[in-house]
Amino acid sequence: MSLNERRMEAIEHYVFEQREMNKRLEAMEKFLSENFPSFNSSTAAVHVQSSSRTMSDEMKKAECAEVIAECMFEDTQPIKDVLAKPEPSSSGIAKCVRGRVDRKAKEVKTPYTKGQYKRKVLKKAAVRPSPAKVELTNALIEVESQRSPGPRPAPTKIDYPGRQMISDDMRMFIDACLEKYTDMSDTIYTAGNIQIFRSQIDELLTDQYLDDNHIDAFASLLAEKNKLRPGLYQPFIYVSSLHWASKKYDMKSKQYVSHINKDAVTASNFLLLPVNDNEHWTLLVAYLKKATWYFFDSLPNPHRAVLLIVINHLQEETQGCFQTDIKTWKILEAEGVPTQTNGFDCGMFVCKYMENVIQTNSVKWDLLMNLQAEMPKFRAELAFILLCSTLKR
Amino acid sequence: MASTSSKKNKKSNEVTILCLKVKSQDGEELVYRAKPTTKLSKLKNDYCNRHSLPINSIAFLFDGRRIHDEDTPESLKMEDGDEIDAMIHQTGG
Repeated sequence: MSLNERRMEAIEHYVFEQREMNKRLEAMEKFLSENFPSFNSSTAAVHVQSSSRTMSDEMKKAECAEVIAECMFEDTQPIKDVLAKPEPSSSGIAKCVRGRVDRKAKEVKTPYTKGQYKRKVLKKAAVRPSPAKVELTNALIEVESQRSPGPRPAPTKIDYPGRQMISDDMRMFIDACLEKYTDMSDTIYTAGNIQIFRSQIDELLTDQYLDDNHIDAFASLLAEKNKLRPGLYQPFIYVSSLHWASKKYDMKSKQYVSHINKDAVTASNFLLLPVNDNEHWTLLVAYLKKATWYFFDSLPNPHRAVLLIVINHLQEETQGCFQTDIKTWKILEAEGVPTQTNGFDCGMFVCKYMENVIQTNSVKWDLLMNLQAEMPKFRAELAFILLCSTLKR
Repeated sequence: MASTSSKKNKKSNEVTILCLKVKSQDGEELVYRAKPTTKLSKLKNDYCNRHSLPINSIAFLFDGRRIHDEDTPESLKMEDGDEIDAMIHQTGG
């Protein structure tokens, strides 16, 4: 910018300020003369010469009204701002900096510089490609050079709701474990392709949503129990909820049903298939001997829309394993089952449904109606069992 | 594949570096270069950071198996150009 231009700008700026000042004074004057008749404008007001731009009287009036409205109804915020400003110190650098800041603020305020400034910035932004996009599409990311993230400390003590509902031994053991595994990324439980971290134990204890790891872990615990004490549960097949989720996102999903074959189907009585749809867990159970699907939902509104898709997908990948077409099996809603009364326990309910369905004696749901009240206890117990697996290692 | 990697080993006498694709649910791909002995949790952490997700909110799936934190490309017998699926945990309440 040439010197001339800068000068012009400074003058414009000065003139603009003067005009503003003038407007304000006029408004004040009018305001005072209206409200206090004794006030004499000619003696009090100091008029500053206006700029080359002249305004019509009407415009002036309108602006005066505006300013008065501002004065009358605006909050006292600006005054506060002024008060909040620190006392100007006498040191040189501070003065310089403040001066510069003030100058900048003024420059932006004037309509002329503001426009120029804005246009320039916009142009620049348009020319420059957004860096994030480039990075994500065709980047080779070196992992070696990266430092591992710092520890994520976990609380050593948690006051979880089920704390008073479990036995003293369990409580002491859970407390000890919480003090031992103090990083959120500490591994608590591994089985097959399941891995439970400390953070997930915390989720379990503190009434948060359950994820597919929890549900799979519970199913694998059931299978483990059945292996240790044969005859405790009826034989069952479990299909991870990842099977359908993989299909949803166009990923390979055949490996989740690789354990299903003709022999397995004839040897077992149930097929358990947890379904996650729209952040809600439900359970689909195939009574293999009866050739019927039962659908367990812990919330009153049935989320049935996905069931046919899930069954279709299962049928596609397990062709020839079932004697009849599983698509033609009736889908019945399990009635009279305990339901949840809060917004976070549906995962636990799915676990409990699974456990009760495969009991050797057919389950009497009406005896389990207060399941909701015991959920904190079950959560704590499940956490206890998962934490127990750390002892084996 | 094994033969080519052994050739590379002979040539450079250094550890080979694998390119691993991480594919997200919406089909977007990231390519990582990693040594066979690198823990895959490093990839996962970087992926979470890049997408500003909380750590451990996603699962890395390789051939339908959830990848554990201690796993390395070597332990899972990964090869150059293999694809890892990144899936956000399904949660529900």
